[in-house]
Amino acid sequence: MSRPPAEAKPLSEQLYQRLLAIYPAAYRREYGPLMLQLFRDLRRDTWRRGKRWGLAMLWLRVLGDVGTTAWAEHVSEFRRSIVNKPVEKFGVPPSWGIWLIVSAAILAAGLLTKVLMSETGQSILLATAVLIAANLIAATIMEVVTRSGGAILGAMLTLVASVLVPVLWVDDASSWLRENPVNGGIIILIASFWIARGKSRWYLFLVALVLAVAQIGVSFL
Amino acid sequence: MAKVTADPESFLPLTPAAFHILLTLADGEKHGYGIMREVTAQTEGKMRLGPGTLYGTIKRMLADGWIEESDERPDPELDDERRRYYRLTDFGQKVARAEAERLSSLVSVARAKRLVGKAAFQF
Repeated sequence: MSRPPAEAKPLSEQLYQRLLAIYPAAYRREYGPLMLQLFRDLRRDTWRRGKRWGLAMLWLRVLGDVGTTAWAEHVSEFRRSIVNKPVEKFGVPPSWGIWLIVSAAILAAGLLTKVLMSETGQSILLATAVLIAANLIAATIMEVVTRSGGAILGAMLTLVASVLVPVLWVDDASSWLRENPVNGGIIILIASFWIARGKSRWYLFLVALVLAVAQIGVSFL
Repeated sequence: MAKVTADPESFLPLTPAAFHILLTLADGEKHGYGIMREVTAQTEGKMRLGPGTLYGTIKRMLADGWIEESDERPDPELDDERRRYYRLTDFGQKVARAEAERLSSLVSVARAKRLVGKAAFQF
């Protein structure tokens, strides 16, 4: 038996359906169809009572409603995923947070050592080696803890290479190494965040690549 | 549904939208549009909930255990099965009662200061 042709949606409903795209995806999946159904009922009743003028007033109200509640839902979604969500809900043990702090401390110690060694006139090559060792130790810890399948170590090596490779062509290699601290902390934080949220790893490499390109780009300034 | 153990008073004061939705559900389960129409009627058109406000509030009320979804349909023949019906939980009733008592004591203060009631009309 052939199905009757689907009734065309009025323009108002089509517009409202598109407008729902500004709500967070999770909220839209759960409540989008219900909101659309509600708008449909509202539009039908309003049209019956007030025709065009009623519809114009309805749209004014709906635009105000979408503007305020979409923003509120994004804030709520952000708080839920970042602030209020306990670490256990990401599917990693609570000790994960402790290791993140340990890794950050190792990175900070490495960075501080490099600065102190540079300022006391010691070899910048040795200072850079200490910093890179600290970065790799911190990355290895996070790699083991989060079981990221090489994503964190890979990202860190990309960043280290972005500091070391330009040494081959810059005029003053010592100056270059002194000015570029290998910001491994950024990688570790981004990696931990994205892996914990179950995002794909190519995103992580993209971030590392952008940072690496930016760092190499600095050498041409 | 997990039993809610929080103190109803800890949620006060409620937003006007949340309190009106609780009031609407106090006399039986309703779907979204039914709630919206009754809130408009309760407030004589002064409060008109938009779809975003209504479902945003419902989402939070479900999460806090004040309301729950109902599987029953008043009459499946007459109703769209895609609609979701909501009803008050025991905890939701306690929250609504706590807010009503809070507002009631507030009105008592206003009455004592002759801001409402007969005194307000004395010239």
